[in-house]
Amino acid sequence: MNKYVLLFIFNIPFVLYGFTKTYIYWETKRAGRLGIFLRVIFWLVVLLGLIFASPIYNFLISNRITNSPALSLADVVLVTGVNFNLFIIVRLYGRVDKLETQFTKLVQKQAIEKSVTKINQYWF
Amino acid sequence: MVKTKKGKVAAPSIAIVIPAYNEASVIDKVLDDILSHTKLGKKTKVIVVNDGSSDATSSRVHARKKVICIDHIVNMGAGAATRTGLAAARELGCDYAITIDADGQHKVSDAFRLLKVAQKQNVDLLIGSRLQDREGMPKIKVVGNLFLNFVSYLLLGIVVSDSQSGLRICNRKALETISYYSNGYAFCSEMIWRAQNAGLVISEAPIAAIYTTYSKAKGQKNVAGFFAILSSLVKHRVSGLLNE
Repeated sequence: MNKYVLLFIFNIPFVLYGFTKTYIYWETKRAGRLGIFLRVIFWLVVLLGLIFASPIYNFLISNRITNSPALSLADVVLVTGVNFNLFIIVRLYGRVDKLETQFTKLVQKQAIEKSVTKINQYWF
Repeated sequence: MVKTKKGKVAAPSIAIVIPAYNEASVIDKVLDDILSHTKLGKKTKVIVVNDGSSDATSSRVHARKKVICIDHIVNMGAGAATRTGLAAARELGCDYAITIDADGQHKVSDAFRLLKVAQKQNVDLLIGSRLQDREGMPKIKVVGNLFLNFVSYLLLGIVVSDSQSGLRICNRKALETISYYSNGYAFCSEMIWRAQNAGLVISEAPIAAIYTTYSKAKGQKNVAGFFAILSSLVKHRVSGLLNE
C-alpha cells in the first residue's frame, strides 16, 4: 500500500477528533467566533497536509528545498506516534488545568466558609 | 453609597485585603499600622488571607479580634490568596476592597488616599503605581517591573505604569465583575487585563514603595519568578484567544 495513504489513514482519526471537538465547542458555545475560526483553520491545515503530503514532498524535492529521502514505513509509524503523544499531552494538560481550577475554587470556598463564624461574631 | 433615612450619605463599607504567606515577623506591625490609622472607619473590615503559611502567621492573626483571618489549607499562591480575599469582600457586601501587601511595602496612608481618589473619580480599579515616583525603589526592581509592563503590553495589550503593584482599590462593580484565573504573581497583569476586557474604568495614582531588607528578600525570585509569570500570561492569553 502507498505509504502516504497509510499516513493519511493512521492520522485522520486525530483530524476527525479535532473537527468534532470544534463542532462541540461551537454547539455548546464554549468558544467564540475567533476561537472556532482558529480551530477550524488549524485542523484544515493539518488535513490538507495529510491529503497533499506527497505533492508537497515532490514540490520540495524538485525545488531543492529539501534532500530528505521519501517517506518510509518507519516514518509513518514515527509521525503517527508523535501525533498520538501530542494528542495525549494536550488532553492531559487540559484536564490538569481544569483540576487546578476546581481545586482552587474548593480551597477558596472552604477557607471562606470556615471563617464565617468569626465574621458573624464580630460584625453581625 | 447608601442614603440613610435622614438623607445623609452613609459611609461606604470597606475591606482591606492582605494576602499573607509566612509573614509572621512583620504581620503584627502591618496590622497595627492599619488598625491604628485615623481613617479606619467602623465599617472597615480587615481580612488577612493566610496562604498556607508554615510559620506563626495564622496564629498571630487569629489572636486579633478585629481581624478576619481566612486560612488556605495549602499554599496556593499570591493570586489565589488575593482572589479569596476579594471574594470574601464581595460576600460581605463591601463597597470597596483595598489590597495591600503583607510585607509592609505599602503605606497605609497611601491606601486611604487612593481610596479617596477612587471614590472621587469613580474609578472601578485603581492601581497604586510605584513607578510614577521611583524614589527608594531598587534599580533591579524598576528594571524588572518595566520589563513586565512591556511583556504585559505585548501579550495582553494593557498599558499601565506598574502592572505588578499589589496596592489596588476595587469598587463594588469591579468586585462583582473581575474574574481571573492565575494563582501566582501573574494575577497582577491578568486582573488588569480582565478588568479592561470587562469595560471597567482603570486608573493609576502614585504611591511610595517601602523596601526594607526583609521585603527585598521576599516577593518573587527574579528569573524563576519572571518565567513563571510569563508562562502563565502566555497560557491565559492563548486560552483567551481560543475561547473568544
